[in-house]
Amino acid sequence: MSASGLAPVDLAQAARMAQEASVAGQALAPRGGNTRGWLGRPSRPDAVEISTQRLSGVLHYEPDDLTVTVQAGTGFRDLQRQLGAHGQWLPVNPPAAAGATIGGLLAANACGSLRGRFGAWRDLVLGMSVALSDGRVVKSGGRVVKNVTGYDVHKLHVGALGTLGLIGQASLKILPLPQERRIVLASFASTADAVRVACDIAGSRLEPAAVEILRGRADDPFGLRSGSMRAGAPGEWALAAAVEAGACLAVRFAGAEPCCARGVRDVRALVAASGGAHFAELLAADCDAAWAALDDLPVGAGAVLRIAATPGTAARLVSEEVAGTGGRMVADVVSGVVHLLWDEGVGPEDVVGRVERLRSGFGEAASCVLLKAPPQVRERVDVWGPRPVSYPLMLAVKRALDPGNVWNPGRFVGEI
Amino acid sequence: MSPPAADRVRRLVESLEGVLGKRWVFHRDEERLAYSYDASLARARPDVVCLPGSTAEVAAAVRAAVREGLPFVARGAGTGIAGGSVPVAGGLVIGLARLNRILEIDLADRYAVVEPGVVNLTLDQALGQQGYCYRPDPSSQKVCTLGGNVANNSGGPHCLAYGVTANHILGVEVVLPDGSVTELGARHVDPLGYDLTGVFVGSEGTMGIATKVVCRIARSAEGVRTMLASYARMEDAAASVSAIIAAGIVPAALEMMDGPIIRAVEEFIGAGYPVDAAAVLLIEVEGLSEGLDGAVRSIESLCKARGARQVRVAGSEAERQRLWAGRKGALGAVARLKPRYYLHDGVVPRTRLLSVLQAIADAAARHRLTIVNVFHAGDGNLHPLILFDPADADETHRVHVAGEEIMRACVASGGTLSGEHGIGLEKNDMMDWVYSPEDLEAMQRVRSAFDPEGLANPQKVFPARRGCAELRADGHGGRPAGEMWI
Amino acid sequence: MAYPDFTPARDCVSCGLCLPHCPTYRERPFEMASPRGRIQLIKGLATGELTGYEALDEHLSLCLACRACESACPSAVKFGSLIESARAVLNDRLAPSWGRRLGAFFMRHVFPHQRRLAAVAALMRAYQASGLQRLFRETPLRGCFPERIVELESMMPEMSPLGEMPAPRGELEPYGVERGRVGFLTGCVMQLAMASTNAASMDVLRFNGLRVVLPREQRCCGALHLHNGFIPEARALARANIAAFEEAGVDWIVTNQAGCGSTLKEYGKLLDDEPDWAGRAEAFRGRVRDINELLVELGLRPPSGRLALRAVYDDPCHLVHGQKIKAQPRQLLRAIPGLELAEAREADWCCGSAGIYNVTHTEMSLAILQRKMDDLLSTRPDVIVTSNPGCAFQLRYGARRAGHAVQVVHVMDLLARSYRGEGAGLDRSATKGEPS
Repeated sequence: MSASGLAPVDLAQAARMAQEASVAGQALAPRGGNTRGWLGRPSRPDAVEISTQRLSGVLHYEPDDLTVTVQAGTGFRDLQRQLGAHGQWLPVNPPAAAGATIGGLLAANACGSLRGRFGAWRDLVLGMSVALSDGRVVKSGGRVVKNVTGYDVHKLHVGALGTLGLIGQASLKILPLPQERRIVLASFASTADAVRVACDIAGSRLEPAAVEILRGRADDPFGLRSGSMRAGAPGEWALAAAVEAGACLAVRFAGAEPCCARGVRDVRALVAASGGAHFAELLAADCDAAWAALDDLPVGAGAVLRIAATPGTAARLVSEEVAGTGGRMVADVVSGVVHLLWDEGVGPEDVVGRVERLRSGFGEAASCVLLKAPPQVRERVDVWGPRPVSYPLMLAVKRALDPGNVWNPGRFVGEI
Repeated sequence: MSPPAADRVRRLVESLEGVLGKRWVFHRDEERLAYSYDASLARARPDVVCLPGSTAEVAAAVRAAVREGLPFVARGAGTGIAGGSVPVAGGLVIGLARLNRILEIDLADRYAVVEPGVVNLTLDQALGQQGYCYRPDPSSQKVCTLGGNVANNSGGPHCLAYGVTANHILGVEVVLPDGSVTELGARHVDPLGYDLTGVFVGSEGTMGIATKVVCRIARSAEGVRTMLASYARMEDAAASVSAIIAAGIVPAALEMMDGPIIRAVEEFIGAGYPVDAAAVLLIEVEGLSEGLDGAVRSIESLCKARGARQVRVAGSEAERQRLWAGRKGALGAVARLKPRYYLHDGVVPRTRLLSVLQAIADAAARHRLTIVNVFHAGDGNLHPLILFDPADADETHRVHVAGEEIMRACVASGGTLSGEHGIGLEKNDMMDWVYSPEDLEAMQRVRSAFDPEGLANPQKVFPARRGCAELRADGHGGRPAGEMWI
Repeated sequence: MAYPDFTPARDCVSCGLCLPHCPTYRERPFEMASPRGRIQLIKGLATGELTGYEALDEHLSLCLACRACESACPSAVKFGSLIESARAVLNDRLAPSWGRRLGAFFMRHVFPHQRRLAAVAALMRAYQASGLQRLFRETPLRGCFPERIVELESMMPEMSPLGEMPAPRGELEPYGVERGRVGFLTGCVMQLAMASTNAASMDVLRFNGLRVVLPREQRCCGALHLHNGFIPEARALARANIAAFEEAGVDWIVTNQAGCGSTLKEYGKLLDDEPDWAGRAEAFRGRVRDINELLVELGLRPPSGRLALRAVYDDPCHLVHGQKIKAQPRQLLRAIPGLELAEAREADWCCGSAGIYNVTHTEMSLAILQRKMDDLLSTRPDVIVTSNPGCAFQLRYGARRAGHAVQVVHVMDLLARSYRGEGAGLDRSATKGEPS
């Protein structure tokens, strides 16, 4: 990859750069906070980086509209801070958000476990402006919360890893900050018990913000104790202790105080009724620390397989896979997204074998994406997995929007 | 029709009859006329109509049409108010009413698979028996189909808290304009590759025909409270909407009705609204029982602080139903006030509600028209109704001028042309108010990835050259486009 | 404006809210079989845009005219009068066929004449009472006839005994203190096939302190004619009935037949272009009441005879949609001690009888009847109650087809039973003009 990347000052300039690249047959690789270099297939070696670092800042923010328009290079945490000053937030909790930009998270479709309650990026994006490789800057959608004017082309760019164009700015739906946040931690001797309780909660009317099952290694529960992740605030210690004790259930609530209290109460009763050990109820600063730690768990390993399935399928997987391998796991049973984490101890052969076995087992019932993997694994298995049935259409969309194949070629599904 | 065209139609009829049987293929005059409309004013007859009974038959019908170079238009219940299902370029109408089965409901996996002709409310009721629901609730939900909802990315009063159709569709089986069948999305979140489902939803039938829809289903809320706040001044009602949102409360629904609507509703429906009010807000909060009282109290004090004369909380399910009956029947009631009305669907940022309402009032005064309002205030989704008598040509002209001014005011405030009704034939010529030619061209390119020949519902969504088709005002006294659902 | 009147078509905004309420659209989900589609076709007929009369008739005749769409319509389109107008126009324009000639013969020469109709009924009664029907139904003889004949035969309602067929005339005294004078429409079919229900109805009126007047010159109400587009015949019958009941000097004109009531209430519109009659028709219309409606309006005298029955009420279309009478019959039934009233899911859906529709469109009628019986029988009733003879015949046929022993009766049958249990001590010989 070229060392001297491009850093356009505005989107029009980015579009001109892309057009020039198109004429020259040059590939461009969009770059935000560079927090997710591990995602997808490798960039083409000759691709020139084009950074959004100078496309930064909030363009339009009227708190009472509950929408915000930002430039792509805006830091995720910077934006949350600005919104927080007005008692608002963007209700997503991507892992490894430190240093990440809005544009990068959108392109990577990096959501967290709050998506079941508050929606994923595709649900929160109201409109976008994008630089195309023909030199044009085009927009779709707008900054109002309901809009059926024209196609939602912006949805195509979410999760496209910059292969259709450079996201320059986006309008997003935001929410008032919840009055209260709580986490309940419980642990179970058997994963099956934890799954059962988790499914009961996910299928209840309690409206939890997230329901996750964590399965760590006894000697190092997600690095929470070893200090590899954080200094070890009391909330993290509680989380570590819960994970050490067996299959851990973490239920998060966010909302009005009486609703959180009711949620905690009901979860405690469900746990007790199913023989689980109730570990902790975290509030205030403890909750914040554990909340942030929980957000980061899914990508905390050298090899991570992300499985998106239906909630029921995900629940079955959690029971069976954990029993089978004893690997680490973070499972969001509301949305059906399971992260399997493998450390260096699991050799490349083993990772490849497990990925292939899971993919063939699921067929089309889940998508299994290797988020992170060492090179030895990447050489032997496609990180994205088999092409979906609608692949020809995806290819047609790519050709329609980026006929010169300028944008991040080869990095996406099916080598798009 | 020129002889070669007549030949093409004849061959189309023959091949359709071969696949579907004569019973489900229509091409006589009166049958074509019966498929020349939807709930808008647009009218244009198809050459042929067919009602396939399976995905394979839909695909065969599409192939038969494109083989003859004829366009095809999918049709659900024909309740659209932007002309989206009116076959403005002739060709084949593919009615999906026979594809009306709920194929699968999986509570543990929280999805349902339905055929496109399933009526929105039918799915919701089927789920309701088991404590679940399908969230999007367009006002036409008793009639409109999920296929139509997918095409239009339909909204509804409760979209304030739960989002629109696009947020609740996981995947679709689609017959593409080349007659092949593919699947977009999946039954789970985050399918691999581009979010084709996301762009297909709301594409108004211009990318193909959905033959199966995977809907996300939700647990219905534990409790609900519905209240009615009444005001002596419209401004106070609008200020209350902003105050509620600003206070961090997101109600399930937040609807506004103005004085003339209130009185019409009371006269024809009797929902218990105060007839001397200048505006009412119908506010609903849902969720855990523990949170409802607090939310109701907050909303009540916010409304009162902004001048609400009275805030009444429905004391029973019957009273709640009555309050909603007024809102849902508002359009019918207005229909009886004046011979006709013209309805717009503009959306504005929520902080601009008051100023755009003022612009609407100014337009009414300037053009000597009565304009009434009943709309999704919480979303900023306006529905001004301009009342008029079509017998008065001058007034009818002023209605169009005022309508255009209102839409311009919406766009100028940072809003857009349509929040839930669609562009169709009604607003496609306004598209360049909000999009540049480059924006539109990019959208066209995406469309061409699905439909290179441009035979799927042509002349919709994008600015079109009018006059080449049979599109005309309904000479027998129909109302202008866009008037029923809000 | 009198018939044909196509102005209501202007009120239709083609919103489609009627679609889910239309029984024929549910069976055949295409626009031509929906109220909205029919209105568009009727507009086409009215403007001359459509001239394929046979094809139009084919589609429009599929309509039951149940008017469920009127109840659903937010714009209050008067669909009933639209379909009647269209049929009237089509009757004029269609080439006569064998079937149409036969229909017209009955409309013009049989129904308006009580005696001729009675003669037909007597033939039917003779066939039923003589054992011929049993012979036909139970022996292999059936197999020798075309299927269609067998089908039609099986739908034939059971006629009243010959002795009860002649319509009563004269005046019947109220039981107890008189509260008013009602003119009672004996109807044509009702008297011939449900004479005992007419007797029960008159009894109920009398138990409620009403003097029952039976004008000699009353005729068929003209409902069948109006619904099938025989407008001049309907007008003639209207004039005759108005004159007959004026002469009787009554406070109300009462009928126990939903279809007749609906038509009697439309006399005002039917004759509004006849200067000599418009005012009289309007005055007449103002006095017309369905029997359920009148009893609730006056305040029912509570019956005390106990009927330990589980009943389910099925709304006749011309009561619930045509006259918006839905609560009253239920209210009356709930007044009967011991009676438990079940509610069917689709009580206000058509049963498929619709005048002569079951004869002209048997296949569709049976499909609709099947749904109706499934719905009603799912409430496990001892008795199905309705308030219109056509519906009663259809539901009885439905019960026979389903092999179910459930009884089908009129609201007044049950009320009368309850009163009679209570009123055993009353001197019924105090009445004059008993049926002769």
